[in-house]
Amino acid sequence: MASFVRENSGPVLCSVLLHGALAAALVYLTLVHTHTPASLQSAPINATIVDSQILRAAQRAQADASARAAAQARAAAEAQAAAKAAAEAQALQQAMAARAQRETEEAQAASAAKAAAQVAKQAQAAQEVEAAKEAQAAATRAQQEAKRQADAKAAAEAKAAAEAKAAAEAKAAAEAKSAAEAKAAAKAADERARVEELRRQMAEEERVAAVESGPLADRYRAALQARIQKAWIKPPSARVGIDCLVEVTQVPGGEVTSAKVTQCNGDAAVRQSIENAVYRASPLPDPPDPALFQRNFAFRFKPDE
Amino acid sequence: MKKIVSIACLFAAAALLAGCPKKATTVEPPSAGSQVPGAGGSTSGSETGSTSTSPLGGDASAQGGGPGGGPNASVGRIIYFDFDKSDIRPEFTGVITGNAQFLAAHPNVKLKLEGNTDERGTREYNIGLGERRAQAVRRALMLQGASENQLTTVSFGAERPAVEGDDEAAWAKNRRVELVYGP
Amino acid sequence: MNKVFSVLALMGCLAFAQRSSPAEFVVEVTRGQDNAVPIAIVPFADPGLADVDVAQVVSNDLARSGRFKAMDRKDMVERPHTGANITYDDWRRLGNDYVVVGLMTAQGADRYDISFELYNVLNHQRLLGFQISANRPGLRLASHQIADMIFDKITGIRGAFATRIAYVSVSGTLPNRSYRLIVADADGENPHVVMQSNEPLMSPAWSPDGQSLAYVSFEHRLPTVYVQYLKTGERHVVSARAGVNQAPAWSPDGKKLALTLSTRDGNLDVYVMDLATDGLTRITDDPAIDTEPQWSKDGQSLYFTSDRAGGPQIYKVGLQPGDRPRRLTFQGNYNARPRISPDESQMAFVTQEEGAYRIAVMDLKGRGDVQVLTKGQFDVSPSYAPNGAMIIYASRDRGRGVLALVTPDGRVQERLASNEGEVQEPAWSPF
Repeated sequence: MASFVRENSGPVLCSVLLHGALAAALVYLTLVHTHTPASLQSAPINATIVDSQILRAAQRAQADASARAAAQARAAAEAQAAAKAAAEAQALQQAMAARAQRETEEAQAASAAKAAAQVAKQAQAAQEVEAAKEAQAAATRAQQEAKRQADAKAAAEAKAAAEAKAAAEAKAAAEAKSAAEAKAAAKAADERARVEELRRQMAEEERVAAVESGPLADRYRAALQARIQKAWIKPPSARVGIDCLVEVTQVPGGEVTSAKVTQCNGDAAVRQSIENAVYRASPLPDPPDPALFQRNFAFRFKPDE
Repeated sequence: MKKIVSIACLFAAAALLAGCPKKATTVEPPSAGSQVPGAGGSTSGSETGSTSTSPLGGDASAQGGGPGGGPNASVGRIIYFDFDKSDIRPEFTGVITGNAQFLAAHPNVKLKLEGNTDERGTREYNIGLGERRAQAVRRALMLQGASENQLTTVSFGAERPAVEGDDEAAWAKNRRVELVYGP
Repeated sequence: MNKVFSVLALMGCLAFAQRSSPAEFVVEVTRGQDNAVPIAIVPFADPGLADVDVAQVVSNDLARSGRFKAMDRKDMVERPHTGANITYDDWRRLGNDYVVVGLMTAQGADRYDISFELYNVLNHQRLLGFQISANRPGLRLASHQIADMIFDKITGIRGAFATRIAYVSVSGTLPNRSYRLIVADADGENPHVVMQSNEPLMSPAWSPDGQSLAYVSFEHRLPTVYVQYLKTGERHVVSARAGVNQAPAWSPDGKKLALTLSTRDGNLDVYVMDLATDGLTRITDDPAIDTEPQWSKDGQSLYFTSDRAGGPQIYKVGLQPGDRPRRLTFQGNYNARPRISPDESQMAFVTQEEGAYRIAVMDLKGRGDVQVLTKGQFDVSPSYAPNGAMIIYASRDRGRGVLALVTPDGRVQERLASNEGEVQEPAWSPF
């Protein structure tokens, strides 16, 4: 509630004041009306002695008339009051409607303001983006300008250089040429260096790959195979068709620290035998090239008989 | 005269035979133990007749001399066979003829034909081979005058060799049908 | 422009190279050793009164299976009895993959508690720990049960060390021979005479519940088929018809017996007898020798030997009326006495090769490959252990009948030590 009030302090204040005014008006009007009957001016009586009956009649008539007048006045007053009340009601209604409208308007205005604010914000953001873009563009432009300018400058310089060259042919030409050459050479050197770096990386990787698939790796594989085949006690159920993988972890020196059968289509005896085989083969032979050492690798058991 | 003598001999032999006690080979009672058959297991009174208590060694079994005991010793009682064969070799036709004639002449005499093989091969198939040999002799005898109800066959396969040994000399002596006379 | 192009090209190659190098280093292993698994069974701590060396029985069982190499105890420098006292590196250095430790404690006058543990020496993992209670006469059985557990754990195959064998023992010399039907432990120990006779005994066959033996006896000088209930020794005649009665084979549900009978003119054929009703159903009807029937695992077919093609070969016939026999063996002139492995993946039989009789197996699941397992002159009567991991058969050694073992792949062959005279016709009990 408090925050609402705070946020919409203007409209709230207006609203309060309005209500207050209305209330005051209503009270005032009500009071005034109740206190002020219809202004009746009693008609002056021309007193001539007349017949008491006539007088009485006149009095009666007067009384009737006054009564009638009073009644009329009363009615008029009532009517007036009614009219006034109606007017008040209407006024109240109007005021209320006005208030409602004002509120709606205020709300609208508020939302409009909000929207406007949002729009404004968006606009601002857009503007900012724009501005940024602008700035960027400007910057780019500036950059480009600068570049252009630089280019222009360079061109100019070149021109000047050329002019200078033209002016001082041999020296200028030589200087410009050497400058350009140096630049080109530097650029080429850069590129060459990059290419060299790439080449060197690739060569290194090729070497590793070559070693791993080359004759040295084959020798290593063969040594491992020979060791494990000597150590594997094949159970009778290890027949052709068995295909089992054992993941091995070794430390430098060849000691096996872990041997885990992963995929295997053999029975318990086969699994036990291949796990045992890895441990029995430990320590595994050293690789011919230290780069070949495999901390983690696998033996694939696929008996061919 | 000859006829009277032979008939008299026949009668005498018959009388002799009637008095001969029957030799029954019984099974030794099984040794004591919970897994050994009880009284119902041991058998008694298997009829073998006097000529077959030791049929092994062949010729010695021929006691001959009378109808129940078969023809005299000059007629052989064993027929030998070639490996895996059940046909009767020509040299044994005399045995067939001799025994067949005897049987024909003495319709009440019964003859058991015991078929045997050497030890090679599987035991149960050898029972079949021994039976086949016995049947061959039976048919041959019937062809030569013996009647069906005189002949019974039994096969021992390789279970009752005549000669022990793992060579052809032994085997040749085991591939045989023995003619065993008796009820 | 050229430089740019070349740089781009290099980068492209680099990317490609990275993609084609393997993600993991893999070493292919295509063969191994056909050795036995090295295991050490340390002598159990023993109160000293037990007359069975449990660890030795276990060790012998595992070694006899052909799949284990049991360490000689005289090479053992330490003799731990619990896992806590095992120095794995020492056992590893001595070449063992597994070690078994245990101890026995006496519980009163006649009872023992045996506890044992199985450890993997390579990864120090405890694989088994059990305690068995046994009375004095049950110590051998308990030892076999321990061997079963260890065997099962390491090979994944159910152990059959606590089973029995039946066989025929022949003693004496011709013509006074004596025949005995014997039931012993699967390692040949503990023989008991089940039936004794002066006439031949043949073809022992275990009922599927292991409580009875069918066999052929010539005690009446005629082959007769008996079924004997082992616990009481009580027996009854199954078939004593004129002629041949032989080769009894129990159906898998134990309710029927396949056997061989002969007709009047001596023709051998295969029949099925209902043990409850004694009703007979004729299965083969031809002039050939048809014998040695064996049931398929589902009880719907019979394997048998027949020489309808000349020499004996093995056939299979369904038991529905109208089913015709199908020939299974085609190699050589003599293939007889089929025995089916418990999972019906393989058939063992006797085959003649270069004049010698040998045990062969045929693959029933695949293309029917045949492998000859033994190299003797007279290897006959194969019988599968109930776990299918071993075949017992009869062989001759220096003229004497002996029992021998061979693994179904032919890798391992052993003799079963025996004190009997001549032994033949082994039959391995069910579980």
